[in-house]
Amino acid sequence: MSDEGLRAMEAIASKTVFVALVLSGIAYAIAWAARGSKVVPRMGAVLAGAGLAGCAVIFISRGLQPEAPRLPLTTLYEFAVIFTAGIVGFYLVASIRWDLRSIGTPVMALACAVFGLGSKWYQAVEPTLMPALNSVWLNIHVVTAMLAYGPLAVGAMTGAYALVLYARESPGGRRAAASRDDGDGEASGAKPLTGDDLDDITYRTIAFSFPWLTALIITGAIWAQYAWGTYWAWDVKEVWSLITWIIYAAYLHMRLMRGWRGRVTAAFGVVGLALVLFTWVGVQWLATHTSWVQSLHTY
Amino acid sequence: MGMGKQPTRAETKPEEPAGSSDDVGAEQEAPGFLAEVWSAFGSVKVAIILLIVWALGSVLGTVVSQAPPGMDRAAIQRDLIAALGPVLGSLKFHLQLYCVYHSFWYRTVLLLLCVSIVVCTVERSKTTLRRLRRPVVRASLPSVTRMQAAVQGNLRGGAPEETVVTAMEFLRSRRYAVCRADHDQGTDLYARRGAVRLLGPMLVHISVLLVFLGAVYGRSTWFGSFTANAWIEKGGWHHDSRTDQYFLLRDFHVPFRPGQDGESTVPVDYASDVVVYEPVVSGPAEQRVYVFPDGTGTGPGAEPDGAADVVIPADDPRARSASGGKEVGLRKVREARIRVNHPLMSKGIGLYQQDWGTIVDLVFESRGADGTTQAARATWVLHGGTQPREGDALARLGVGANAHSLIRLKRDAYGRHVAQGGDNQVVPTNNRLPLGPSLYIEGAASPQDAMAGQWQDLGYLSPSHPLKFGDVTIRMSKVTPFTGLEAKRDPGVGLVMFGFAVAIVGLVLAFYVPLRQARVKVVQLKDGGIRVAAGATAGADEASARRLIEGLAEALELVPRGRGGKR
Repeated sequence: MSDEGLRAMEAIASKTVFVALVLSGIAYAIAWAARGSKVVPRMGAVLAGAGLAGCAVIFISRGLQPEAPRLPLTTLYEFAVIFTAGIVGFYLVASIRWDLRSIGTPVMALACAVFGLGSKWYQAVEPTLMPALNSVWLNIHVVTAMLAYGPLAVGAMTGAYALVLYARESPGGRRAAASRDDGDGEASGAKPLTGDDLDDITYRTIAFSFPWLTALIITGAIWAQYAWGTYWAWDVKEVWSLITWIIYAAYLHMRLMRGWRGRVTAAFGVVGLALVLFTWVGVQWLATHTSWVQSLHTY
Repeated sequence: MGMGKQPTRAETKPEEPAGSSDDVGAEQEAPGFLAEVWSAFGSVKVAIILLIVWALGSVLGTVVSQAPPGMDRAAIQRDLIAALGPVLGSLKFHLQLYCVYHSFWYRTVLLLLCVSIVVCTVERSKTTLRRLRRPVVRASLPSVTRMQAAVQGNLRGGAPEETVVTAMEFLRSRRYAVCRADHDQGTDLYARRGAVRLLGPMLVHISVLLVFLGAVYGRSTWFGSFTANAWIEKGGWHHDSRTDQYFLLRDFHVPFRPGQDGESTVPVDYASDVVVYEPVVSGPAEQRVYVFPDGTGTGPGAEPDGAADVVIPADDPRARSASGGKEVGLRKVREARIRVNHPLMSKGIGLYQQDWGTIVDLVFESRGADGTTQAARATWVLHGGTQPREGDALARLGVGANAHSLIRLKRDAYGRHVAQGGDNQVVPTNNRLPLGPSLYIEGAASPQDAMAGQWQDLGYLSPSHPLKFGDVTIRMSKVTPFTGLEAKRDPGVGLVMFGFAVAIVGLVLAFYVPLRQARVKVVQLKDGGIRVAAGATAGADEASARRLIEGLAEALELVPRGRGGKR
């Protein structure tokens, strides 16, 4: 395929991702509001799958462009595509195991936000990389980021929804919710998810992604050792990824060793995602817009 | 169900909290201070608090401006007091908030965390290893029926032993390791798969200690850690005195990305072709001499047993800093191209491609009224990849009537090197190929003018195009492109990488290897029948626990009395 053809394919796929994710979010919202339908949530899943396929097409079309005989994992836009794929892909896989229709809309909204943010930083394929990025460890590092961040994003959404359910399950909340009675799972006749169920799913997603989060830091450190001769330089980005890791480590200790459950641990899931997003976007923004934050990790 | 008094075939001691079995005799005594400290550091609550303090301390280091490494402490204190006032400035200085990650309090937090990890690892290891070596086989009936999947029922015929053997064979066919405990009321079975998971958390905690230990070991100069810049010009030498290696820069390249109109500004790679040499020496260590190609040596103990590939002459100006002005005979060890992400490792030190640039030697000349010429010199080191910092490319003329005048490289023009046209014409261009020797210069008549920002453009300076500022002629006497290598030795890096590997193994075991456990109780009833209770857990994979129990019930031909287990 010609260069122009690949660029056109990428542009079409980019629009497809956005439209598919928005429609998927709407479908999940309709399914949540109109209990009883089995078709609408399936449509939501199919549309989410189309969005995921669109991300794959973007990835392939950028990778095949003759200027870039490499994996497109370098720019902020390319990482946003990978991150979006991680969120949607993990959500679809997790939906096979758990009934996650109730968080379909916020998950798709988050995926859209990530993709939209990435589109803001769109760059055409760069023919060459800055020397430090020319490493196989970059590819490994970014793939581990996708495997870590995607599940953490879904976990944050289940945590947030758990907090909503806990608020409803409280005496005041129960009275307020009595008139609405929109329990999840009624559509399929399945047992509705409770706050504790969602808190448990949050834990399981974090437990899945914590090894990848660790691998993310380790692969970055190994790469830095090759590139700069030091595996740790206390760069702002490194420090914030460490802070994120520490907070999730504290979460796992609370949950596994102290047996904490409920609101606090569910809230931790949400805070963790805020830290992930700050590490990705916030540090970049601060390093490029302020004088007191300097980072080697601004691309 | 009660416990039997005489366990047979397997350990049947009930599981105890860590350390409790050793503390029986000490129950009457009040715990000592050390025991209390040990207990405090073994607490998960303390560990969580330390983790959160660590995180908050780390945040502080990213929001408070940090001083550049190696900056003089007195200068830092002066700057802080000038910027923040005497109270806040002193506070920031004494709390070392200008270097949070190397401050005493941050290191104390890390030390306390290490102590906590050590205590927790020692405490939990005892329990973990005991569980691995001697699993608790005996269990009460409720603890079996409360497992994720459970079943209980009666068997009308057969011998209890036959039932036990059938259950054991079934569990073994599912790749479970099975232990049994016979007691006066029947037999208990305990079976498990994936017991190696129990080692996961222990390995992760050990890995954190390994990384910390490697970091301390590797960053300490006591153990031979060092970092040194090696700016080498083409054909120049660098000598590492610690390992007695000589590095010759044969060539270096900074290929640029081809751009529009033939201009190119973005470097694609930095590459240095380096040859590594070692001195050819002879004789005992205290009397070593260098041996030269003709087989001759100098000094006592010289033996003509080696021939050097190259000799650095004593008067080689490019090798003076490397050889110390001595003649040195060298034998080639290897050649390598050093690029970003591709360091050269040799005898424990790594040479990393960090930088490239140009060293510019300037001469300022002024002819006095008596016809004599006064001259002063300055050298600028201009780094290729980055803009020069304020003051990096600044010089006082120091001669003539304009002795106090200053010149500097115009910052905005840096990178806009110039191509040389005929008749000393200069043509501004973005092209850095070859590394442009021309620089745009501006001058201030006095330091006061400089402070007031009154700089005037003087024009482009190149080797063939001097500039005039007042009565001073500014010449570019020499332009030396250099490659910027960084020589590093970190003896702890191997330990850190080993720690990383242990962390990955530990995390995979802890989070991805499911521990599947099953328990079976076989009890002989007074009426001659047999009661069987079986339960299984499989962590997140509850369905597999259910399948196991259903299969076991089928194998035993168990008539369910009512299914237990959590759903």
